[in-house]
Amino acid sequence: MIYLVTGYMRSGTSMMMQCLVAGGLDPVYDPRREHMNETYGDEHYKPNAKGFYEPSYMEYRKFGFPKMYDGKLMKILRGGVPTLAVADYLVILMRRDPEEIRQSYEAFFGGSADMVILNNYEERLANSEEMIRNRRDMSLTCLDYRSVVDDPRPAFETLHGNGWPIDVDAAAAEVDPTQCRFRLEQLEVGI
Amino acid sequence: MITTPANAVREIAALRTASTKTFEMSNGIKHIRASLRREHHDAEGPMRDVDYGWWLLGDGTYGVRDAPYQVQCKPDEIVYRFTDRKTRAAVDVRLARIGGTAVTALGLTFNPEIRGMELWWSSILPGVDVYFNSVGGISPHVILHDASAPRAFDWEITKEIGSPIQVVLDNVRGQDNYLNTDVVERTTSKDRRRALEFAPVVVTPLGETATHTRTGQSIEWTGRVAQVAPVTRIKSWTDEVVYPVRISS
Repeated sequence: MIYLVTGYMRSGTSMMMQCLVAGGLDPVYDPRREHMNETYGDEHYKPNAKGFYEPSYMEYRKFGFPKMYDGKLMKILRGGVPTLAVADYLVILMRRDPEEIRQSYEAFFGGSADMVILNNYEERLANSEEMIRNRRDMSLTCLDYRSVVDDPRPAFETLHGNGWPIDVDAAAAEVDPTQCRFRLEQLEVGI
Repeated sequence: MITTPANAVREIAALRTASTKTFEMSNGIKHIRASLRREHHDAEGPMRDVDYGWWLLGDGTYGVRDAPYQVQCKPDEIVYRFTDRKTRAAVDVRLARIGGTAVTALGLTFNPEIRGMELWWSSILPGVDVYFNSVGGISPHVILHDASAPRAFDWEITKEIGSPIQVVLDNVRGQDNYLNTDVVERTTSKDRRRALEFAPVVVTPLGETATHTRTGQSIEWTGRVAQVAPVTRIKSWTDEVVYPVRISS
């Protein structure tokens, strides 16, 4: 079984990885991706202070990817999922309000987020969900980022019930609400 | 007397494309220089060098002479005529009102000034400059130097019915001068442009003749600008504007 976390960037995929690692899963990622905290951050702000948990782009090109990571936990952003080789996967698809994603993205990278994608966020995410559900080698759990942040335990209980071999308490304890900086109710929508 | 050697580097004009020049070097090797920007246009015959610079033309108007399009401005009002060289389709864009008052009623004195690829009307009202930039099309810009300057500008677009020229009316943007000031300590690592807040752009049909349509575009800056919190980088609107601000449309 390969354990997969997916979704748009800035939608809580890294937080979920961090929790699942705390819950006992063994992650595959490239620590060199952490340079983004330095490249895009400063003394006040780090995009992902607790890590990105992302594999390198070269990983996708390796012969046998991702089957050689049987039993491991991986974060594959949404665009990478359709081309994954047939294997056995448990998948988490993270959801987040697109305005929160947009503002978080712009804080991270500067400039403007791709509004074409975010304007169709629900449709695109629904397509991803349908695609994953249509694959007989993937079993999907959809989670809402803000719900996990606000009340973590039910989310990890659900995962445990869906076959994720995790320590629910340890995973839930890892959620750090202070890392959720972009909350819709505190944002100027459209700014 | 300076003579050109027989084997001097020369451009092979016949091989010009919109964005490349080809040179024959003195040793016979061909060298291609590619540009991201348009180098040539062939609107009136063979490929010619593009020149987006403004010129004072013989008839007293100001214009861009060697671009894929023609632009012409009258000296006594803020207006440009954009003409596609191939189709000869034209559009006039005129600054019609400032702060809700018709430009014609403001008694303005116009002294356009060429600054390379920009044509400026400085201080048309206290604290207000207007300029047109001619690179890759033409775009009007307004500079406001202080908080007392008017914030509403109405443009009037006149074009032939069925004209293929598209005038983008709702892509208004602007920024204040936060980046260029020493007063504000830049606490975030990125040089963030602080975007201006605009009221929704109002596009109004102003009428139609047998041959032309007129459309109005009303732009109003609210007087606020987006600031970024250093720790969270959450944006919020603030009245603490660093002047001058630039409005582009």
